[in-house]
Amino acid sequence: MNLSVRWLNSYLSKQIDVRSLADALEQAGIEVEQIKYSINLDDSIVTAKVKKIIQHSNANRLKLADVVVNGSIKRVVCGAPNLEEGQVVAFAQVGTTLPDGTHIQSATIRGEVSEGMLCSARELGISEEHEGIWVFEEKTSVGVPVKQLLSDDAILEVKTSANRSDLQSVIGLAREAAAILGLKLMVPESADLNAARGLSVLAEAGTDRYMLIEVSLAKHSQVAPEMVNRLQAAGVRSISPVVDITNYVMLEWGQPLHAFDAAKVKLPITVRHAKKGEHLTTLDGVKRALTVQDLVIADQDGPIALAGLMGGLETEVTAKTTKILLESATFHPAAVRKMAVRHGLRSEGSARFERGLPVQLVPIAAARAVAYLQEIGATEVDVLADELLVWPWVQHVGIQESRISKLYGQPLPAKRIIKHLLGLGFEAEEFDIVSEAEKHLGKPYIWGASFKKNGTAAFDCGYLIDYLYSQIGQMVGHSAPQIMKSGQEVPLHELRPGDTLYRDGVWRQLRREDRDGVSHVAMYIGDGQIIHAENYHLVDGEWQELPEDKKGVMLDPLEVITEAPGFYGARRHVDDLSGWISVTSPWWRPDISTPEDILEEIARLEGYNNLPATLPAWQPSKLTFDTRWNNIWKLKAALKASGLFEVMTYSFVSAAQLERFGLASKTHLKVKNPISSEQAYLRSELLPSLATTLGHNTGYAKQVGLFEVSKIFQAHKNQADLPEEINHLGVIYQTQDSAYRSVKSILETIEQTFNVAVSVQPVKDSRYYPNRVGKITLNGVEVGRIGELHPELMRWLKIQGSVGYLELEVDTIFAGIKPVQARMPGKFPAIRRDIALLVPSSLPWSRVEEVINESGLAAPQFLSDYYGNELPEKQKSLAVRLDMVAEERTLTEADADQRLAAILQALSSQLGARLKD
Amino acid sequence: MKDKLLNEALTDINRSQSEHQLEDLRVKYLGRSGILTQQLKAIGNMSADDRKSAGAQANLQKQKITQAINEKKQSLLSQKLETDQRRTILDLTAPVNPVLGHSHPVITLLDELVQVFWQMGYQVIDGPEVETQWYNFEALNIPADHPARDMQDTFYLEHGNVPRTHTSNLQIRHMEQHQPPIRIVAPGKVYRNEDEDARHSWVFHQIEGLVVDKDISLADLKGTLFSMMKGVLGEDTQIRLRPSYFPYTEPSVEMDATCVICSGKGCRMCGHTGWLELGGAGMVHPQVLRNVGIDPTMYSGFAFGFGPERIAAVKHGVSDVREFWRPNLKFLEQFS
Repeated sequence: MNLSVRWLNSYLSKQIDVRSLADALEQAGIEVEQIKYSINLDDSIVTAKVKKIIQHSNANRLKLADVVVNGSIKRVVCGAPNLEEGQVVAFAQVGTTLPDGTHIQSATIRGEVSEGMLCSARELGISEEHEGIWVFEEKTSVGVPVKQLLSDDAILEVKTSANRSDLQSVIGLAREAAAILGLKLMVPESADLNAARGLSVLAEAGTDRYMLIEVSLAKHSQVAPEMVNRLQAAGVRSISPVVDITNYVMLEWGQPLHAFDAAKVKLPITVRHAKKGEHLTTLDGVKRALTVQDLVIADQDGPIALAGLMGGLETEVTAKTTKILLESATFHPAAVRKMAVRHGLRSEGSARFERGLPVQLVPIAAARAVAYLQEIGATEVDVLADELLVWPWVQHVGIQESRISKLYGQPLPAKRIIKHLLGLGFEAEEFDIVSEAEKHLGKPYIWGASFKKNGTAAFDCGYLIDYLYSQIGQMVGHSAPQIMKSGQEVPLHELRPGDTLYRDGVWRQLRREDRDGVSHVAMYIGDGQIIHAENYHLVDGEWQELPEDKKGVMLDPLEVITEAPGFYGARRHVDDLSGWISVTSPWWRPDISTPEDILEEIARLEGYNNLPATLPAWQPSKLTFDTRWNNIWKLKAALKASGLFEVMTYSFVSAAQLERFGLASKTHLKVKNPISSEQAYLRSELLPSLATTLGHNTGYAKQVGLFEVSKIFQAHKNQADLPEEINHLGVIYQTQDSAYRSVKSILETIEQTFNVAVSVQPVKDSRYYPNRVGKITLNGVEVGRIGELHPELMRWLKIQGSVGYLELEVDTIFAGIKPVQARMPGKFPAIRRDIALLVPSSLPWSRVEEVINESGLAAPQFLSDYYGNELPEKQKSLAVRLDMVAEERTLTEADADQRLAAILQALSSQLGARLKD
Repeated sequence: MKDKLLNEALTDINRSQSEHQLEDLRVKYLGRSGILTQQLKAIGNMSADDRKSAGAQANLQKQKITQAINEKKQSLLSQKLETDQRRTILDLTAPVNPVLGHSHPVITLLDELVQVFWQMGYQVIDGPEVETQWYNFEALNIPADHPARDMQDTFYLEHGNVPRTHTSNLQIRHMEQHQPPIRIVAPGKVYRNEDEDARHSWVFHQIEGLVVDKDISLADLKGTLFSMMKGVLGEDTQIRLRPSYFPYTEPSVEMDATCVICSGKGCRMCGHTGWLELGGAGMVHPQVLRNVGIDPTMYSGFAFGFGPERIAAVKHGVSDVREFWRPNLKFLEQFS
């Protein structure tokens, strides 16, 4: 919202400068996004002080002035006759542009260098005056941008929070500024309105209050120019006197208004939902098809306005209009918001309805508009309708000094709290339940009295207690039995003021079993006395109705109830009734309903700068430790040490990406309202994202690897169930050839880092190079895939060379971590034999390793494999190192030969391997 | 050995040009069958008197030759160093390009945050990124018709769940399972259906903090935010709180910290204000506590949330946060 500072100031008891106002609003929690000055001068035109003047040596009429600005002295050539030492002047520094477009540069004038210019009023663009330079008052500070001093108005662009409908108005903002600055709010005067004629509006759901005022206009005089200026400052175009007034009042009070041409409206009107097939041509000339969700104002012929959004073109007020119908109403926020979205008609007005407006604002804004209409030519004013469809509840909040201080973190005396709240327009006073009760002594008894019906003019027994406790926001119930049920039992010898006492009564006497039970409640006030709203008394053990003039709120001795037949005992409702403050929110603050809301009001008025900073104590009953982060860090450190890049990629992918990588999009969670189709599905693997990323970085290097640790989403069959979210590691590695080895090296790095033994078994997976893909298992459970990407995918990704890929469930890996079990260094030397085996080419190393390990005769180590044409068909050569050792003695060469023979025997019989010649 | 021969030996040694020549000379005179060695052997056959003087002379000559060879060796080495030095100069500053991996700056910052919170005694928790509307909204006191629920802010999945719009869902999940005292932070990704620009990406990280205990105050919130920001941004950091509004906290505040680049003096990164807007915080709304079965008359708490992307952007002078999510290795290689 944009608003004129002068307008804001007009409601304050003292004029406040722009900067201080902005600071006050910020402290109140209103974001000041920008301050715009009415004079648009470059910030580098600043005030400067003339320190010394000397005559120009080459020109009689020119002088040299030394001016001080921001601590440095600049010499300027100046011809102004009014130049004097000690003046504060407007100094255009080198680099500045003047309003007329002149660019100020360092210039040499008759042999003297001038570092800037002293400006006249014309040069500053504030008048035609050009006789001399502009001179400020002597005490003006130096170095201040001139526009801040010369602007007669500034515009504040403010952002207010969504829960504060009251701040969508100049009055509301002024109220906050006044409270922070300790000033008075000067509320403008309004017209007096007659009581409504009672024209029925038949408002349906979606409306809380609807007021319609008929105003006769003898003429349409122009509104005051100041009004137009203020509207313009707020970014609202001046349209016509009537519309300007409705807009002005909306900005002033926050209540949108609408005016119809009365001659074109067939009364009575209704507020209702549109019927199927209805249309309305709105003021913008657009013919709109209405839906049954649209809330409309309709006359006898059909819709004449979209509620809260825009009026109909047909009933528009024109210069010829002699009678208008002024509408001031409260429409429901959600209804207006949905309509605004549906019709693409978000406006200043709808924005205000969307935040929810209080019904009390309706007549205030109407009366204010009428006052302005009277200024432009309104004659007769007649309130036709004022339909109130909700009860305007008063919100009481009870706060306790001790609790609010605890929540704040520092003692807040009740008097200070009250002062702050009064400043914001709240009612607040220290609460003493006894004196509050005594205020009502002597008031009449009316059975079934309530706040809605009787206010505080009359009570019954339950309502009196209900009313008293409601003053501190405690809901104890309305009838005697309800109140008794909501309290805690308290023995008579512990009775304290505020405790309640109960008896049964006349119902029992009348043997009305349906009404048997608690029928009366009184409140103890100390000193052996009670206060209650009573209509019966006991005469010779019989309940008799009191005479009408004796019924009412009265004092009695405690025994009147404790010794009455059918006394039920006492109850307590609030543990501690001391130090309470009864707060009543003003009608414009529907956002306030709890003590915490009040705390915020106090905290911001105290200022968060003044809030102490403490650290909370910590006495946990148990501590929980987390190893996952450490494992992640260990993992990432190992990957980084291998030269990999860590990347972050989007969690959402496209259908095309999924399909390319062999994933069916329909088994993936789909975003209903994606930003683009590129990001429409939740990924179930990291592969598509990482491969695409690598594709975007081709040409970065011949050899490069990336990794990401992120959650993936596995949808359940019923996609409404929350998906499985699993932490995956994805590693992609590009090399010129056989990239499989690169990612296998990463996998082994991980195995060793965490001491987990995974195994890789060949699988079929069409995304990978045939026969170069395996599933990774840990303790028999699949935890990932490793392989070389299929050339087809490589072509699609436009990647050269060879790409290895590895994807793992990291948490499963972490779950398999075991401490390293050390092998103690042997006491006896080992014998090493390197052998070359001929084995079937499909035989994986892991089988060879297994067989040798099972023999227990040597520790095997893979050296290399070789596939050559000179080898027998379907055979490969495998170079293996065997380290043999005995625990109890030094092995001899003969022992080694023996062991080798045994190993070869096993390899031959189990795997068909033989020693290569 | 005659003095003449000795002089000849010393001259040869002096003239030699390499260690190799020197070695030859050493063998010639002092080797197993060298001239001097032979003479020393012959001394054994002399008379006792002759033996004494001849022995002393031969030993002296041997000493001289040995010394000459050693000195020459030393001087040859010095000469070689001299010429080598002149010929090849090692550029001590030339890069050698080590094999280095690269951490992502945002994740590095997130990791640092976790470390800071550990030091502050917070438990770091994890939870779902795809969430029910109850945990993401209702439980946090954001009813169905709240503006924050509008389509422009939230992604909706086909079957009604949402990619969480904040990490606050984990507050609720944690409080449902744990009784106070509670002291947690929850880092993770969040998703917003907003147009992207240099300061906003539609996915980003958040770290959410929650403390619930007896007598937790607004002053405790301020002190915690203050300490935390010192831990994250450095000892000299100051913070500033401004009133704000969130449906799940009351009172609510926005938190600013002094700019990490200019320390509050004002610079381009902080829009010349000296302050960086970091995130929101507040006292947990009593309704939120009631929603998870914690009695707000017994317990109070505070919550805060902020984004590492923003801090990382300022810290590293990154003018467009989308760069963090657009893995461009040329950009990422600057970080390690």
